[in-house]
This record gives sequence, C-alpha cells and structure tokens, in this order.
Amino acid sequence: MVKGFLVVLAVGAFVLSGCGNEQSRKAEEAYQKAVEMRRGSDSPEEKLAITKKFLDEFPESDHTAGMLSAAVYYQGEELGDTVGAVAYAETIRNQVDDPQIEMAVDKEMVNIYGETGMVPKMLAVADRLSAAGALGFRDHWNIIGSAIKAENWALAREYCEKAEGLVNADSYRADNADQKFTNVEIEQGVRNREGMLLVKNAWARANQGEVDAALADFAKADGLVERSYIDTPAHGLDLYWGKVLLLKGDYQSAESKLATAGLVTRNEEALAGLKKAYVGMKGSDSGFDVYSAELHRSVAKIVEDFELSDYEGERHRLSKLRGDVTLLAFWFPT
Amino acid sequence: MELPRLETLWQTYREKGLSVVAVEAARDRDRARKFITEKNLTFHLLENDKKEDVVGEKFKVDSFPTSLLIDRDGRIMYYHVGFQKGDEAELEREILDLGQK
Repeated sequence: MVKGFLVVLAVGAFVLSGCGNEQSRKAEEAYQKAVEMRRGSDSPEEKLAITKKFLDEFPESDHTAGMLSAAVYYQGEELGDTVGAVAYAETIRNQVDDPQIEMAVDKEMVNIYGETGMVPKMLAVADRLSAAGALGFRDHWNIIGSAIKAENWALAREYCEKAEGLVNADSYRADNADQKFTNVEIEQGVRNREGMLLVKNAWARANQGEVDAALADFAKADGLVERSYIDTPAHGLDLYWGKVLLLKGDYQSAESKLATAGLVTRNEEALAGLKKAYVGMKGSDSGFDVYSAELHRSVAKIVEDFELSDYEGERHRLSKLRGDVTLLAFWFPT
Repeated sequence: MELPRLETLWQTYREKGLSVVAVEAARDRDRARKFITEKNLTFHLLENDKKEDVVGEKFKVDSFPTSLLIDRDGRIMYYHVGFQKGDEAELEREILDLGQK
C-alpha cells in the first residue's frame, strides 16, 4: 500500500514538466524547491506542510496529482489522519479545471478512495474515467487491490477481466514511456502483468468457492510473476496460494508456499498460516518453535559473494566484511 | 531516511559481532558522499558498480531501502523491503534474535 505512494513520489521527482508560460514556470520552480526542502526533513509534519504549501499556492500544475498523493501519504499514512487527508484531497480536486490535470488528479482520487476503503466513491470516479477510456493498467491494478481489501470479490474479478485487455507490449511500453526497456524486458513485464492479474483473480475466485480453479491459476501464475532475490514470487502469490492450500487441507504444500514469507520476510499472515499447517500435520502446536527454527534455516538462501568499491576506491568483498550477524542494506540517496 | 538509524544500530551492537554494509544503488557519488559526511556514517559504505549492477542484476532490488540480515554461515535469515514506522524495532529484534543463535 505504501509502496504505491512512494513510487508516485519517486516518479514525480524525475518528471520535469514543460514550462509553457510564466505560471507554470513559477510552479515548476516552487515544486523543485518543495522537493528539495522535503529531502532535508525527517519530520512527516514538516513534509506535509511543505507539500500543502505548494498545493495551496499552485492547485493546478503538472505536479498536482503527484503532490496530492504525497500529501495524502504523509497525512493519512504517516500521521494517521485518513479522514483529514481525503477531505484535503477533495478540496484540491475541486479547484482543478484543466481537463488533463483533472484526469490525472481523478486517477489519484481513485487511488485515494480505494486505499481508504471508500469503494462507492472510488467506483463513481473510476467508472467515469473508464467510460472515457482513461484507465490504464496501473489504474485497474489499484482498483483491484482496493476491491480485494474491501473483500468485494465480484468487483475484483470484473476489473481483472477489464485489465486483461491491457496486457500487451504496446500498453506496457506506453505506461513506461520514460524508461528505455529492451524487447526482452518488455516481454518480461507483460508476462508479469499477466501473472499478477491471475494471482488476484484466483484469490477472488477462491473466496467465491472456486478453490480448484484458483489452485490451477496460482500454478499458472507461478511461471509468470517476477521473483525476488530470495525467490519469493511477487504480488503475494505464495501467501494467497498457501492460504488456499490450507483451505484444501493440503498442509504439506501449504508449508512449502508459506515458509519463506512467514519466516524470512516475517509476514505475519504467512507465519500464522504456517502454524495452521503445522497443527494440521501434527494435531497440535506443541513443538512449533523448534520446527520453525529448523525450517527457517533450511529455507534461507545463502547469500552470493560480491566485490564493490568504497568511497576511497578500495575494493571489498562481502565475505570479508561479514560478522556474526551482517546487515546488508541497499539504499538510494534522495 | 534510514541510514543514520543503521549507524545507531551499528554503534550499539558492533562489539557483539554485528557488521553493517550499505550499498548505494544509484551510483550518485556526489549526493551519496554529501549524505555520508553530513550524517557522519562510519559503517561499511560501498557503491554499486558501473560494469556489474550488483544491486539490480544480482540482488534484483528495485525498491529502497531493502535490508537483509545474514547469519554467520551466510544464510539470509531476514529480508525486508521499505522502511516504515516500527521497522526499526523489528530489525533490532531480529538482530538480537540472530545473535543468540
């Protein structure tokens, strides 16, 4: 959920808008300044104030949607004031007249209403955009996610079906116009999209009682979705798959799907599912701690070694830097 | 930003065998250096390679920060993407937990 907002933030920082007139030049300058100021701040209150100051001054610019997303993230997610965040978004939305900016902001409103569980409001905006052919794959994806969160399975399936029409190279290329992807990368991206829709659709189907069909779809999605370094499939495939296997009473298979997510990425739902699988196999949860510690070690991937330079130009191998416990962090200066 | 918090963790647990290695993904040397100096970071700081994209290609990392905890035998026992409220406490718990094994 947070990731979506952060992605928008990151993209917003890189998109430089065209500066057609004096007003948009001023907006661009103010935007750059706001982003720079936010970088220097560690406080969500301050970041929110900086973002709102920009929006109040320039409610209509190429950055309205992105900054609105950021404001809602700081106020709703970080400061816990969801109601205030949505109300603020609505006041900004009502100040927008330019059709293009309005469309971008409405897409953001779909996201905001969806994330906050306001499904009827989300659908009202989404249907209007959909009728205008303005919803891209990512918009569909956001709606599917919100429908699943609201346990509205029929709606999730409806938008999965709609989104299938956008699973192709042209649509993928258009959605990533700012990136120089190779044909192979585009193929991978399209395959991943096909897989991610299958995952969500299968989960919705399972919740509507179509368990066997869902299991078949999970198996199909397994060959399509991207995988992390520790081999967990993207989009929660292992978690959903494991949960449906539990429903089937196939505890052994459920264990294999849930182990890494539950023990290595520490997903609480997956860990709870793992315990259920254990109880299913053994009859009680006695001995679960010893069992899970052993399973944890056995599923943990062994890290590959690498060599990189420090800022003095000296080369270091990870294996030489490791201690009893090593924290390896990948970061991005912002 | 999470890196200054890693400094605190490192200072707290280095005597007990914790090692901290941070790899900067963007190859944005100027910004990275400025940040490192400003925040006075002293653990191992490496930069992603131009020739070999360790972060993206080898570790398939595209969301930041991504953190891994590795035990003394090289097993990745903890893998976490992002940094939200509460993550710091979880990370510290996992470090302590792993240190006892």
